[in-house]
Amino acid sequence: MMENLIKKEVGYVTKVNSYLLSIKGLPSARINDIIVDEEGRKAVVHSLLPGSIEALFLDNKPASPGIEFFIDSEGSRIHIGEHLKGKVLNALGEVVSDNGIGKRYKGNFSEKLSFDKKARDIDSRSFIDRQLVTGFALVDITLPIGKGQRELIYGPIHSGKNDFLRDVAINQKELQNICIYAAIGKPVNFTSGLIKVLEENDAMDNTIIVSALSDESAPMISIAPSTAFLIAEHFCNQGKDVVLILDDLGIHAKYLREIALLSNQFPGRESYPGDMFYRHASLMERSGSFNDKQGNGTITLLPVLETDMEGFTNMIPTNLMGSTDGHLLFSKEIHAEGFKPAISVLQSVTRVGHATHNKIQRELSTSIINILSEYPRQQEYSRFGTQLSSHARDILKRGRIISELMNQKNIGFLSLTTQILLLALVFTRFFEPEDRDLDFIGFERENIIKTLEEGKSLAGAREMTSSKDLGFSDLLIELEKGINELEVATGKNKDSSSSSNIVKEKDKEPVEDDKDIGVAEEE
Amino acid sequence: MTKKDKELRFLGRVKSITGQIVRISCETDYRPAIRELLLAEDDHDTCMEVYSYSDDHTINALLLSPVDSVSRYTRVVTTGGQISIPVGKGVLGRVMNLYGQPQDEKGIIKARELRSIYTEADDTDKLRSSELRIQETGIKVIDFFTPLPRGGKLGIIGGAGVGKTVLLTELMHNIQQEKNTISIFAGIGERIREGHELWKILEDSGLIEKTAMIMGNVNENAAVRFRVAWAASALAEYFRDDGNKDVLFFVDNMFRFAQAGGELSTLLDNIPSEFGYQPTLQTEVAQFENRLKSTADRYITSVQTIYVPSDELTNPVVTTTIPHLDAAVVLSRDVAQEGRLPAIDPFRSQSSIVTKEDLGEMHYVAVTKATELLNQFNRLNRIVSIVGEEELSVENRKIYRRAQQIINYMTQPFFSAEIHTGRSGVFVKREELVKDVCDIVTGNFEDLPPEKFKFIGTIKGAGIEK
Repeated sequence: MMENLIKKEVGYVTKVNSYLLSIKGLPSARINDIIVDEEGRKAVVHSLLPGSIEALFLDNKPASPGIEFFIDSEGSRIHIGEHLKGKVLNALGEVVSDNGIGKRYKGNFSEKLSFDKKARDIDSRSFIDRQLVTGFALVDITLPIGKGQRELIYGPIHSGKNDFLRDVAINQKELQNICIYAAIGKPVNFTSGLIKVLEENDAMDNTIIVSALSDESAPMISIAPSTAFLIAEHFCNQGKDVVLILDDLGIHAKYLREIALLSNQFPGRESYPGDMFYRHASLMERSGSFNDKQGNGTITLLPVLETDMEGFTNMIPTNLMGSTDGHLLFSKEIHAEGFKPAISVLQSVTRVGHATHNKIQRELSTSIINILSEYPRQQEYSRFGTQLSSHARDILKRGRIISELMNQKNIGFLSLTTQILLLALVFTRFFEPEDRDLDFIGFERENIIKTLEEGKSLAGAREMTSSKDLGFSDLLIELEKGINELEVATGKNKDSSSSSNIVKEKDKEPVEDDKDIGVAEEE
Repeated sequence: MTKKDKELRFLGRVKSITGQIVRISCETDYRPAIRELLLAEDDHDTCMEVYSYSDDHTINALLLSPVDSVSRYTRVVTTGGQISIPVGKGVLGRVMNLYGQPQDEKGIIKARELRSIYTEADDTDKLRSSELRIQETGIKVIDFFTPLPRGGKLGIIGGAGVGKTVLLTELMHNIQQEKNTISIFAGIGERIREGHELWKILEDSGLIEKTAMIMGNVNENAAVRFRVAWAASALAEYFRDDGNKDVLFFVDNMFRFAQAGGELSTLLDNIPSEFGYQPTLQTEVAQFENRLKSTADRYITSVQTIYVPSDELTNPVVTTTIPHLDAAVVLSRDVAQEGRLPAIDPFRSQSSIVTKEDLGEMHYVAVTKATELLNQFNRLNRIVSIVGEEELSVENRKIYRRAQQIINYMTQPFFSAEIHTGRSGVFVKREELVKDVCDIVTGNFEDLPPEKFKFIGTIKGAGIEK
């Protein structure tokens, strides 16, 4: 390591204020250069003043005056490649834990560790037109995320964000997308818990964790996102689809604020540095969907923001919403009601994801959102105890069933095909009988899913879900062919003869009303 | 760099670098003017701009290149000029950055001349304006409630994710480019993805041929983003004064322009004003807006998006910009959540030309009547949400229904959103629009459910009959 140092230039520490060092010497230093002392401890050059330079010490133990620093002429390099899969790195890209897996060593790409790499311009980009499957029907159908999209994961503590992100990370294995999880300023328990869950689910092989623990120095935590991006960009340039999770940017902003204030920068709004928006926005611009000249890869970014505030008015939430392509809003209330993922559909936004849907998905999505947007209002009305119109009753039942079908608390990954067929069922006669409600789903969910996945009479419908030009109404007709098989699969435990009679009489009304809420159709 | 042909003179050396601010010590007798463009001697891609002097030989310059491109003692030369961009026909059909460098892989931009982005236009007839005409946009809710005067400024005001950029893109698509009209798009501090999408949409529709795009996305530093607005207005002034063209000038986003100014201000240690904004906000916005001026002979019609942080319309950037606008549409989150697109709230939107003289008798009367209906609707809506529509008097039920029909009629499928919604866009002429609203207001469609009017073009086009 020492042979890379420019030995002819030396600087020595004159002042120490926490991790902020004043160094005399090193005349050719540039901002963001990595400097190293005799023991190999590192610092990043922060600003260049007439008589001295200011550097941020990356080591945990305090520095003292007199220590000599040299410029690392190689610019401290990070070695990126397949060998990193399954490993845990620190913010400098050094392997800190390989947990006994991921020992394979394929090639060795070395990249200059830079903290301020500029995002590629419009001539490197391509349209976002492929969907990133999360395995959650709620997201994949009503709030689809495209490969290369940036979707903010936003919500208060204990609203199920962590669970959701872990599952998304695990599900990427099956989809063969590389997942890079940057745990930024997180407690040790959080990161070790994350590693454990990924290992237990056999997903570590496919994941690289960049960990900047909360007990590391603030400068170390502040560079973690850009290091994670360097790794993501490497795989993206090889044409891979990368999912990058930055957890969490609110914490990251607080460390940036700390450093700025400590180094005497003028405080801006909420005392954050004046260029706070730019710092995060320019970082997030590095994700996206890239064209063939860049290798056709994508970086899908899921930045996380945890907040105690229920509102959106604070500086960091507003900034992040203004620089992402949508947000999933997690709610404590929904989480407490036992839903997973606990996302408020109506308060969440996806700006580009719908463009990755085919016609069937798009129409199904619109039909479901139409019901879900009316559902809460009808729930309010129904509390008055007045007699409900058949339309209202229908919305209430369908809203209830849709919410329950999208609740994946006890089931894991659902493929797109299964998600589509499962939710399309709501628009068939399958759920018409009065006794087919929440309890029924509770008992029969697995049978339904299994039949949708394997049932012979549903093969046509399964194939149709990926069709480019057929519409939702075509799918409903095809799905009709499988209803009998579903009836058989779910009817085993029931006294079917007696219940079906009652059903026919009672449910005449809602059936007639069907067209009112209808199915979104394109002319 | 753009000034390569000019003679470069040695000026001095870098003394210190903090953030984007470089202090240079002059070592010759030459003192460059404010805004003069400086380069690093050994790397002409490294640009700096003189911002101020802290003493008689120390320059504070803005570093326009990455912060790690200079070190202390880097030798600095002066170009003797300012940041310049190519002007002329060659810029049409092209995408460029602040320095006029191509961003579209189509090779070098051929231009008649290079012009400083700070060129002040000859202002002899600054206070004279041209005859008022209405600029049709084909978007019903804008043309009806908040019509845009030709040569005027339209603001699209709204919070995150309510559809500002989509609306701007639709306007770029819709505003029929008449003879001798060109478009300029200034992308300031917005997402690269959006810039890319817009560029491709313009290419697909062929509109790019008469459009020049100049981009300073949010991956650029504050100094660059701020100056892109200047560069774009220099282009507009060239086409207006020397190119003899009418100009459609699109800005996405005015808030990001002001924000970039604010970032620079903090970096320069200026004392912040309210909410942490720069003390010079008023001046900066006015300087930019006043360059986008129509003359007696030529129009500059401008459409600007204005982001509203936290949906707070009293934000200083918003309130500073609004007085410069002739028409402003306010996008509302509530309307967006109800699925009505474009999510324009007609109550908070305004236009200076909603007068009988400017709109003509028929349109003016229709606007007045429609606004009155909507006002009554808001009042009735509260009652309806409690006791239901059935409980309204016959007269009120009529009002309620007609207002609902108008509200739904004002939704519109967009050309620019076709890939997202699967609905084909429509352009509606003002003449038909006014006639349609008159028909609804007078109750000609009384018996039809209001849902029928959702996402249609004209009533006739949707096949609705009385």
